[in-house]
Amino acid sequence: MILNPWPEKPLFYASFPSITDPTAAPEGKEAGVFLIPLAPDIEDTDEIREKYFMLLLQRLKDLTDQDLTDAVLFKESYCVKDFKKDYNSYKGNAYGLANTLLQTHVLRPKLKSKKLKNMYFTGQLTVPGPGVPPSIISGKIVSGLIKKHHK
Amino acid sequence: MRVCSENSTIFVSKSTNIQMGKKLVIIGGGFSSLAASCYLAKDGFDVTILEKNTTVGGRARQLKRDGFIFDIGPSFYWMPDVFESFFSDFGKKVSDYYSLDKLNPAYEVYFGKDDSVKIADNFQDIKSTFESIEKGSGAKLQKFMDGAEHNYNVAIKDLVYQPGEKITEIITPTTAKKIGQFFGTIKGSVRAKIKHPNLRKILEFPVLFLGAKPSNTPAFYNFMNYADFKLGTWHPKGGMYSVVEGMESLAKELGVKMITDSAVDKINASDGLVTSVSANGTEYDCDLLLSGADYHHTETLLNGNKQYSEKYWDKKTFAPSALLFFVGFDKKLDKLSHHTLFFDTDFEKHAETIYDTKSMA
Repeated sequence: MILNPWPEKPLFYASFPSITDPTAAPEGKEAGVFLIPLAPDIEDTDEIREKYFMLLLQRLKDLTDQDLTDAVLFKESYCVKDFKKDYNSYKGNAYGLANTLLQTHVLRPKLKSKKLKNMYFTGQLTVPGPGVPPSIISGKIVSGLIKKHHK
Repeated sequence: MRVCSENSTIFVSKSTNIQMGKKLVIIGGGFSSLAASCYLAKDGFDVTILEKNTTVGGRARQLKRDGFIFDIGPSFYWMPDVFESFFSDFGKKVSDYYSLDKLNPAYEVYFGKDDSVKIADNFQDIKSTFESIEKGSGAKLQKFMDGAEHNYNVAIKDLVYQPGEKITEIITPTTAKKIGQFFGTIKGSVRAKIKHPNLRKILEFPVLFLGAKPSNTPAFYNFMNYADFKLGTWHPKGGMYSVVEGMESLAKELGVKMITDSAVDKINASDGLVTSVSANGTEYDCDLLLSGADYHHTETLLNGNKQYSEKYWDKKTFAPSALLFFVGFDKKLDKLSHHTLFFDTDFEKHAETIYDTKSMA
């Protein structure tokens, strides 16, 4: 198996919900969520996680000109191993199956089992695809099929 | 009013007569499962969700620590029309379950030290922002967005609600005209219009995070840009988990049973029919089984009834995994927005490490 490399200079996303939502953190404090998108099944060790945490803090510090190192009260990490353990996620994917031309619509895994007459599937690996709104739509589509077949 | 109540009476009695409370088990309690459970319970099925974790919501879980609350899973609330439409199918409104704020800025993107762009909560301001970065790009963005808006409407009305049984479902006179957009890519269509690298990154990021390189994503998916710039970025008070709680309440009102801390470890079938599932040593009989759990994982529980080989899954392009950190800071931070993206490094190089798999180096 060939493992994908970790990005040397990752782009990343951060969310600070307590900027607009006071329920997210105690007064005078900030809640931060950081995310680096990675290849599924990438090597996941505590050492690598730690290295990237330091790298993220440094980037944040450099880009916004504020020191954050002493401001960290706690941190918890989450990566490939956790996606597998918590969600049985294939290769530890975070977002399901990509929307490429060859993985659109009829070319995605089917909602109805071809082997078992009373078995169905739903979710972001089926139609229409990844994301929260498509997942809700997937639930609606499959229930329509079940109703149609088992009325 | 009388017509309305008569209709609903007829509907209720009709559906209960037909279904006779067929037992339907759902594996996993993520968004798809929760949505399906509501529709199926409304149609008269006797629905039970078996969830392996302590709470339903799938990846949309919550981490609470020392007065901080984090969404572990999704954090962007896009396409508010889809959520509204879901609740309205049950005669409800989003506001019956949670409250929404439209974020302004929707998000902020960093390209370098003290160099960031804020995406406003309205298209006029976004256009001005584009224009200020690249002269003439405002008008081009308008044109791009008109196409994206049309695609969004086609997608929402004609495409995404189709079950994917036959290709003919999605071939309509409107979609046939758009066939070129399935062979063209997001990257190509963005680059034909916008030259500034930072603006290109802003237009290409939604598809990057959702699953493939912009160079491999059909141009038709630019409807994501419409969702981004025209429909806005919203925040449910309390975080995305409020949406889970809302859907969970609705499902319970409709009679759905939920059993948490119950991982299904066996699916029992005979003569081409599922008869029951086992979870935590308990066997649950069912007339119908729906899995909202990971598709590949569910198939590993099916023994002789698998549809797809390991090779099939291995060859698929999966959306990214991610490394996440949940951090409690001891002070308020400066120069950041609720959602902030850091694109101060080479976008394409990073995308290559995610998507260019199995290259024989």
